[in-house]
Amino acid sequence: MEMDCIRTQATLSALHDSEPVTEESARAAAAHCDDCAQCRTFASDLGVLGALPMPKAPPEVIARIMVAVAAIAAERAQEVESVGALETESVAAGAGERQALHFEWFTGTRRWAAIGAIGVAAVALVMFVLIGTGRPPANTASDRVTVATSQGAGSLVAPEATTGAAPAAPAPTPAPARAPDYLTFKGRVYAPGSLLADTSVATQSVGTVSTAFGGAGSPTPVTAYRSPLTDGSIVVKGPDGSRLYEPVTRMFSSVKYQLVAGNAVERFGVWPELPTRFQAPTSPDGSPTFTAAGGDALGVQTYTAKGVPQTQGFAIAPGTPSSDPAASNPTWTWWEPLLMP
Amino acid sequence: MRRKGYGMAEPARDDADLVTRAAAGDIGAFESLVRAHADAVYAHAYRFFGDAQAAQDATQEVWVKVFRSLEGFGSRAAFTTWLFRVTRNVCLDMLRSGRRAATPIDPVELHGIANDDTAGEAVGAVDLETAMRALSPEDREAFNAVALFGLPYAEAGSVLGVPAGTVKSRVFRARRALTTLLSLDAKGGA
Repeated sequence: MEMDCIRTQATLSALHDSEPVTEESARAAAAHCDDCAQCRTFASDLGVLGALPMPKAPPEVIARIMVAVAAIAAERAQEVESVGALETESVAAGAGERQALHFEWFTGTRRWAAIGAIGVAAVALVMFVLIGTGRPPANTASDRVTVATSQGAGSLVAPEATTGAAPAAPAPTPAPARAPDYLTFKGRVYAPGSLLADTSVATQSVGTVSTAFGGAGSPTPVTAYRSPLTDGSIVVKGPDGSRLYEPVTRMFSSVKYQLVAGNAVERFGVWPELPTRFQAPTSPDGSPTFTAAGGDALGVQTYTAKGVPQTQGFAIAPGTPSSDPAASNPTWTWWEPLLMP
Repeated sequence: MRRKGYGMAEPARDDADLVTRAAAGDIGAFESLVRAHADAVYAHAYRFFGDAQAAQDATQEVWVKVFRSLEGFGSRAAFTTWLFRVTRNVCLDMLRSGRRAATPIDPVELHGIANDDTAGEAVGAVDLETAMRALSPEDREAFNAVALFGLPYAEAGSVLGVPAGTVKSRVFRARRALTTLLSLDAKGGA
């Protein structure tokens, strides 16, 4: 290729990218193309090359991204309680000179928490108005009855123990005697995934889990490592090597929700139970703790808890099929947006 | 002048508004950003690693980083310039950490391209992507910055740490190599 061809094609390439080119260069390139078939072809090839299909992100990747982002947003929303408390403290102090600082404080990540705090305040205001107008709040604490069974705090109680107004629910399928090989990390439930061939990809500790794995001995603290994957899994070194432990999840409204445990699952085969802040429902319809709300991606009935938007958590009744993420858990289960460990 | 990249559904002028809304907590606006630019991110990662799974992981990691950093981004640079910088860094970090390796080009594959006698319009993504892997990493990422992300040469140079003139040379060299490898000349172009 002659030097003029190289200069001309470089100019054509820059023009194709809408880059500024001197009038002189553009004129020289056009004049050269009049006499050079090779450069004319290059000019047309630029269009062909630009029109060739490029790799496209599979739709499931975009879905995964949005699930991860929703989990981060939920994580930020969880800051609401602590930030709300700080805010209340700050207001109580009533220091006028702090007001200027507040504007600064409201920027950045705290904005998310502040938005949530405003939401909580709005709910509180509505409750205040309802009570003030004489409407009795439904299901006050004194109405609740906790019935302990051999199945633990979150166990389902026989329908006969409740009022006859409760709608009938399908009878739970017989629960398997043993839960899957779960462990809990920061109150969330994980199930074993594949073994890691290369342990050097997981060296950053994210905390500890207490587990005896499948053994009969006492549970011991075991380091959990950040997973090389971005699916919310963790890496735990067990008797058979370093293994991925994947979050136990289910989909609701295109967002992944993870099973949350109120008990420490410190041995394989133990069922996760409801978080202790929830009283065990005394009826198959979830009352008085939960209210039927809709269905998840599998068509399984979801239940909301009072004061908790369904997007921030929901319950699933016992007795799901063994193929369900709840795996026939004989107790009620609670699910919250997936968090990255 | 900022151009529309290959995979961009909407011109870049909408990005600033979407970024502002997403930073204020509008998840829908963030999803619009993802849908507008996910292909560019994925394509760059795919060309970097030569592997679809690695490209998917990188794409997710890029957008999670972007989401976490939106509030700090402000408007100090064009969104696509920042996005290209994040994408490039995520790919390099994955490579350095050993989590992923770049797939080397098999010379036999290139031989196959050079002797491909299919019609010009039949030249598809697979051939283009194989040819992409024959480029030097420097030429390929300059080409991607300009062709995928729509970056002007000067902004691509600022991310790559080279002058705009060097970007111009690299992009031109990449185009020359691609048109030759894909035998576009022999096929008469469009």
